[in-house]
Amino acid sequence: MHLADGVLNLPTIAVTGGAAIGALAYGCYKINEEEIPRISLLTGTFFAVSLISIPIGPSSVHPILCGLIGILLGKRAPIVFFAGLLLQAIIFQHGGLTTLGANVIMLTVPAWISSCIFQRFKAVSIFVRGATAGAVSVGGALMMLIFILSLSSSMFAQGKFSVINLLILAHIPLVIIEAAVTGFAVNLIYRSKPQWLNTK
Amino acid sequence: LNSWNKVIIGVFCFLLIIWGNYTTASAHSLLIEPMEPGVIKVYYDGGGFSPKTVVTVFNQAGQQIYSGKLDQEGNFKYPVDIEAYRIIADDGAGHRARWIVGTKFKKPLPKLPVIAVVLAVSGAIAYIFEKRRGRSLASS
Repeated sequence: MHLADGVLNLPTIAVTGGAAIGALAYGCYKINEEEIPRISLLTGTFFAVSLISIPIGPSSVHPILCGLIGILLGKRAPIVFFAGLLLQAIIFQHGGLTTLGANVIMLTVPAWISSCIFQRFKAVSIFVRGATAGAVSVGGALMMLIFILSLSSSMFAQGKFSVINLLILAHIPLVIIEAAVTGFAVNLIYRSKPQWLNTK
Repeated sequence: LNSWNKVIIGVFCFLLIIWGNYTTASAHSLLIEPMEPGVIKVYYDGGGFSPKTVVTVFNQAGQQIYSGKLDQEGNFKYPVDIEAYRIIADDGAGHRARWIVGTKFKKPLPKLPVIAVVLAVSGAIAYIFEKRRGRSLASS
């Protein structure tokens, strides 16, 4: 989910760039100092984890932790994605600078949805809420990726073995991995730093 | 251990477990490495390649002069007598690499040291701000 420079057309870059700036501004609005340790730690974690790719078939996938970041940061999530993706683009050329907005928005929207899911279903156990949010976040990010690729060119959807079909197949294991990781991580945080989850 | 330390240890353990399990994985950055005149290798920076990758050769005027797919070893061959200037490889899933013919291949930076530095910096920032908050709470 690191779209490289040159993959998207100009209108898509402009729209997703504008949306990412808006999301970032909303994320930074009225930020206070006590939130910075959490944001900083999660930026480092996101940077490291999303560089680890798992080869599946002709493609490869990597953990994104977008559900966990959404649960822990809520509206602040785009700050982590922006900082992490910018560093990856500059240092490793993973993703691109012109596609930075698209990559940020592709993760921000599912992160916010995951946060809503986690906060809403309070009757369910912490683990199940975390796992559901983790699974939904991967599905959401994948939908965003497909939507953005489709906006750019219809060739991605052509044929039985189209890029889009292969991406969906390749991400099924990641949905399971992220669900488990997010569920366990949220459970651990609930026991040690419950105030980070705003579960009261 | 206080709760803050438990979370930090948890995060680092989690990263170590993931890293240990996926050491054979390929990464997402697509690279073009020149092998010999008329032959390039296109691969992800941790190894492996996508057979769906399409390679296009352009001349200096930006016109497409040759195009094709990778062979079974991830190599792409193009005639040496065409005036190839720029080569673009696209795996169709959002990853793309470009190479100006004749320029030297730059190896990507090793990941682990960079990740360690980024984690150390983010941990240090978190620690400094947490300490500051602790001090201001204590003084108030």
